[in-house]
Amino acid sequence: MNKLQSVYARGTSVYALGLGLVFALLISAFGSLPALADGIDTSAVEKQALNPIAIGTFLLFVVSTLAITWWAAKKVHSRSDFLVAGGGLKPWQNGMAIAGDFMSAATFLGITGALYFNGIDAYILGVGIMIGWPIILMVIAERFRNLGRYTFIDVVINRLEERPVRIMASCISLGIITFYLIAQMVGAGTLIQILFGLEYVWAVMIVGVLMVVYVAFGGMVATTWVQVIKATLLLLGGSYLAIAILVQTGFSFDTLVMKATDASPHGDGLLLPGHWFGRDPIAIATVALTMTFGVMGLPHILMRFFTVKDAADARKSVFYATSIMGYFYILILIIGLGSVFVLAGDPSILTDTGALKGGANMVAVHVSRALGGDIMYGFMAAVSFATILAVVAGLTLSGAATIAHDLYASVLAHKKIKEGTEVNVTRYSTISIGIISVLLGLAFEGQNVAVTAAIALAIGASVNFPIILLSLYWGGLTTRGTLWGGYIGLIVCILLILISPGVMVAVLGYSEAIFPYTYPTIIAMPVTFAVIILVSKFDRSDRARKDRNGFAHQSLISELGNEVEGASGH
Amino acid sequence: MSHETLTPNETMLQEKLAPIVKRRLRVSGYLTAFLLGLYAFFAYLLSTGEEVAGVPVSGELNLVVMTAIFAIVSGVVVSGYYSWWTKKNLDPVMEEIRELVTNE
Repeated sequence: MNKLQSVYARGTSVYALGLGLVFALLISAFGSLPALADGIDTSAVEKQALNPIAIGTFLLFVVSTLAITWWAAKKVHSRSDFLVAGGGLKPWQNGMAIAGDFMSAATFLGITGALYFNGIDAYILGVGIMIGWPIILMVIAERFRNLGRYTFIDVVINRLEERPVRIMASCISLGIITFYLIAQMVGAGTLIQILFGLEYVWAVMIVGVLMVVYVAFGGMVATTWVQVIKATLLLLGGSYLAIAILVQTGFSFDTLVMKATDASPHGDGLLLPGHWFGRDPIAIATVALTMTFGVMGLPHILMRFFTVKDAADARKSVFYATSIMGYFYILILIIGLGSVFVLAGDPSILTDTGALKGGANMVAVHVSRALGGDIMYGFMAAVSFATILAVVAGLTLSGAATIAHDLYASVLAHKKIKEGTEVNVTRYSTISIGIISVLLGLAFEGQNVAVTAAIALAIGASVNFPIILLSLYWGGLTTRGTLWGGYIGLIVCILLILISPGVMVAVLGYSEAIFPYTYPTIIAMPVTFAVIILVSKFDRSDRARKDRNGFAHQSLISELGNEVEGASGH
Repeated sequence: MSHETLTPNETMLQEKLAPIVKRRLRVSGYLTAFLLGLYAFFAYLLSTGEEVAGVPVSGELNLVVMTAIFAIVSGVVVSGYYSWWTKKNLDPVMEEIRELVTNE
């Protein structure tokens, strides 16, 4: 073992120790063990009257982003331009876009609503992401940028046998993207029905057409700018709401908390745990692991590291992203708590049965109307639509890149195609993904799709994260270990989800589930790690020898970047 | 794509890189352990009741809320510190090594 390898080995031990510590602490945490409570209290979707301010603001957003797409399309001359903006994005642009991916409708509307109904338990989602990102910065970002070109799979196959690993990683990648897209499309249709008064089918079609236009013509440049604009609008809107709430509390956080607990049906219990997870340590642990490590396994996020010029810029991007997200999650806390007293006693937001109109996801929008009238309501509704659009555009690009670059160009055509052909295949893939997304969105109308988003994050945490971490840090990793670990981890992950409350109770209607937790990460992630490590350890094949020997060279490139490859003697 | 053996140049580069990589892993290891420990503590608090999570810390804010806010702020501070540290300590050494490689 050479010097650099032994340094990595020690580093891996530290991370393994940290992970072990987290598992040990969480599992040993004392508490009762009831089944995981249902996440967000939702009531029936109610189509609203046509909202001209929301539609006007949204049209403005669409026109400006289409203009950017037209401008971006003129700059696309190569595969690199199309897939990763030629590596020419500024760190602040990439940071804004990364933050934008996490400031989704699910985050803004979902966590605000969850705070309103479930109190502090809901904040585990935001805290998990805020812990995950600095770890990405320190563990993944720089090496990723140095080793990869277009997709995260380029990094994983660096020293492993390319064909089988690309196929496996592509399947996992496309699975994550499909599940995410289903959740986003159904969410878009439902939300737009509520916010704009548009029919579900029109909402899904509009999202499908726009995302195809952004990606097929503007590639990564347009996709990034859509995220940047949306993130800016969301931050502006969120800041306005938070300031308007703080004005009512004299800018005192103490008064904010006091007013919220006084107005909440939970009373002082609003800021005590137990309203969502029932203080179940295993349920909390599995959500915590999914949130923190799921982020590190999402293909459309990992792709963003290749859009800047070098590792230092990748690092800066993550710092910008973390700072923006930190600010945003503080805003969410203020808006979530503020909504409890702002909306208290307002009969106009309640249905005849006393439930919140539109369900928990509408809390932030009701607050917008209460604090800023119809103009603010329309603005936030439009921003929510733009948010979904920006996220699906990123997902579509990532999916199209996997199909065109990983599967078509690398596996099927053995890299014997021209760059222009690959770009065209990416464009056709984008159109196909757009059509499939619309069909899936229509097919899943009215279904409980919370589980599909859970599947995407759980696969990211349980399968992709172990493969990525071990491929970057463990010299003993072999192709056979990666394939066995990847496939078994994926199967365990999906089987556990199929017998979880998200499917058995919410979709199939059973009174209880065999596996009581929505997220399978607490079991699936250790299984993936264990299988990869065990199979790699016992792998005595010729390929395994090559895989292990290749680590020294990979380590070098991961530190210095691809530009030194030729100069270093190879 | 993989290269099974290192050239003498690459072996020399590895020797040069090892100390700075070791320092970086130490820094990032401590910071990662701190963040994971903090998150584990927050998750532990969520599994407790008023007697632990509800302990007042400052005014109306209890231990679990303060820990959540502290974790969010820590995420930003740790990112900032690591970025500053690498820019000051890692980047100049890496640049030096890169120049050495490209000049040869």
